[in-house]
Amino acid sequence: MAAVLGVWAVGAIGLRVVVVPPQFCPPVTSAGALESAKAAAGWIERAQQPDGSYTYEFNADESTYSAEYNSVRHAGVTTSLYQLAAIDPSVLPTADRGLTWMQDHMARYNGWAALQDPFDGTIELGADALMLTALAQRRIATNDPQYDSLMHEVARFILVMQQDDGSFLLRWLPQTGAPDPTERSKYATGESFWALAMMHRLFPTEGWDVPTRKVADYLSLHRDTVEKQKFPPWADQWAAYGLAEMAAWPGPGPQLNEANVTYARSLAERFGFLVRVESQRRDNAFSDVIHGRQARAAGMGTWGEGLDSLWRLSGLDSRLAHMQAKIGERAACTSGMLAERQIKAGDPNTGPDVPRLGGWFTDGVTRMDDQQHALSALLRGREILDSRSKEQK
Amino acid sequence: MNTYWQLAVFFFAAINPASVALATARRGADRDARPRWQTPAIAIVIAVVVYAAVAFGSERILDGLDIEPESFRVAAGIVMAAVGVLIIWRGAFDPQSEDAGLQAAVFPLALPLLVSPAGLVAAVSYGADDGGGKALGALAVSLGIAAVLLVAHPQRAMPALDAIARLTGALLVVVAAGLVVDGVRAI
Repeated sequence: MAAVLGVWAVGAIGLRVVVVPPQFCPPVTSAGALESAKAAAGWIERAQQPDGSYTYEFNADESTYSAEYNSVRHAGVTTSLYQLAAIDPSVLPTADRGLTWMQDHMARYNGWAALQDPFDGTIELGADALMLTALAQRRIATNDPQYDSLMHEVARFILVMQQDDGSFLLRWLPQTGAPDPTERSKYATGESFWALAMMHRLFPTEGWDVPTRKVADYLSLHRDTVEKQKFPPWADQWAAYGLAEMAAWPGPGPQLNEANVTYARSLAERFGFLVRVESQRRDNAFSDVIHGRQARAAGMGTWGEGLDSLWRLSGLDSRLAHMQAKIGERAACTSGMLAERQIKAGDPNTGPDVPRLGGWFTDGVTRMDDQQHALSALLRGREILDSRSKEQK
Repeated sequence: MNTYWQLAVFFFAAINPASVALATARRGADRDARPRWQTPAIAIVIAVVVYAAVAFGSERILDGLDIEPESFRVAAGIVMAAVGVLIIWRGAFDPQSEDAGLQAAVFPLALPLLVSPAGLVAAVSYGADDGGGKALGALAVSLGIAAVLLVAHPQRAMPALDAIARLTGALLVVVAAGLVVDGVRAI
């Protein structure tokens, strides 16, 4: 009997170490999450260049800055700042400088406008979709209509890139005067979906719902197959943003069809799994080998954004209501992990010459989208944290 | 949430009454001694008590381990699949023991034949997901079948028991795969 129990004990220990190490979700309050989001915005603000561009990548171990830049990520960072501006208007000047950088690099053809990358001259859908989400978030935060015309110009470019089945092509080629028919992006489709969904929210009589529904159905039914996703569904937080936005559209609901709901459910499952696995990882060599390295904030932030959006969606659509508590649990866990892993005041090697404060670093390196996605996840997760706090009381 | 009868099938695969009966019959064949009905009865009571404690305490167990039920499903599935493969290969476990009579009720009959690793992880997982009462109720079916087989002690049916045990092992692998997929696909 002792031998049997011994074998069981060894097996149980092995299982514990390899398959089910403890999950750790650091606690964080809504106020703590907001502070964390503001600190992330502070990192972006301090590292912004005079022309409105942001510091792209910084290696704290070597104190070096990357020479690369990415206009899609620029637009994404600006979106996150405008999301925060709805609560903290002090970030508006930083975000507006980021917007000015985009306005300085616009290309205009046939009634539409698009951001043209100043480094390689490409006109890429994702940058424009996120520029439009930035403008929409600015509109929501400020109620200022001064960029409505620009929003329409950019939205018209997005429609130029849409195909009959609702999908999108990635690049528009100035030399041919047409979209490149060969290339799609797993990111840009969801980004465009969210952008168009917000156009309908802000301009509900203009018919933006029609192309939005087309892309919603493409994402729900065909994208993973057509674009050969190896492990579907692609963990697309932009699609989750778009679905939540659609569900909140004015007018009689429900706004989502059954395929959209099924897709939303599969996204929640994917994000939930990713968060559970991440909560089992530790910052040490053993965990790196057995469970993989801890995710960078850009990745974890996208899971948080996806879960935050799906939490809102599950509050709006009764077909998903049963999932809301679990989604909220995972989103709260994400917020806790993000807040805990952020560089805080008093951490070593933090000072004016070494921009670490408020950032998230992986192997000594941070990229601007680490701050972007973490900021958005923490900001939007506050409502969930508040809700859970009320439930516990 | 699983239905009661789904759970009953899952626990049937995890406990594998045919494998338990086969192991006992093999031991009896070795010793040429038919166990009295008291021995299986005591083993069943022990198994019920252990499984009840595990099924009803599953949430506390998982809280204590800092594991979400969804993540535990994956671990439970791995254990159950491993046990299933072993049973397909060997038909029944053959714990080495010289114990006889009432001592044999504890080892090897209750533990590890009736209270097996597969049964325990299934009780924790399904207890946490579906509730201790429902899980124990579903377990009772398999324990009842095991009790009948143990008391009947059908030594002449050993080839049939061996076949059923291996088929049940295959079923356990399928159930385990479903549990792993369920754990991965859960939020």
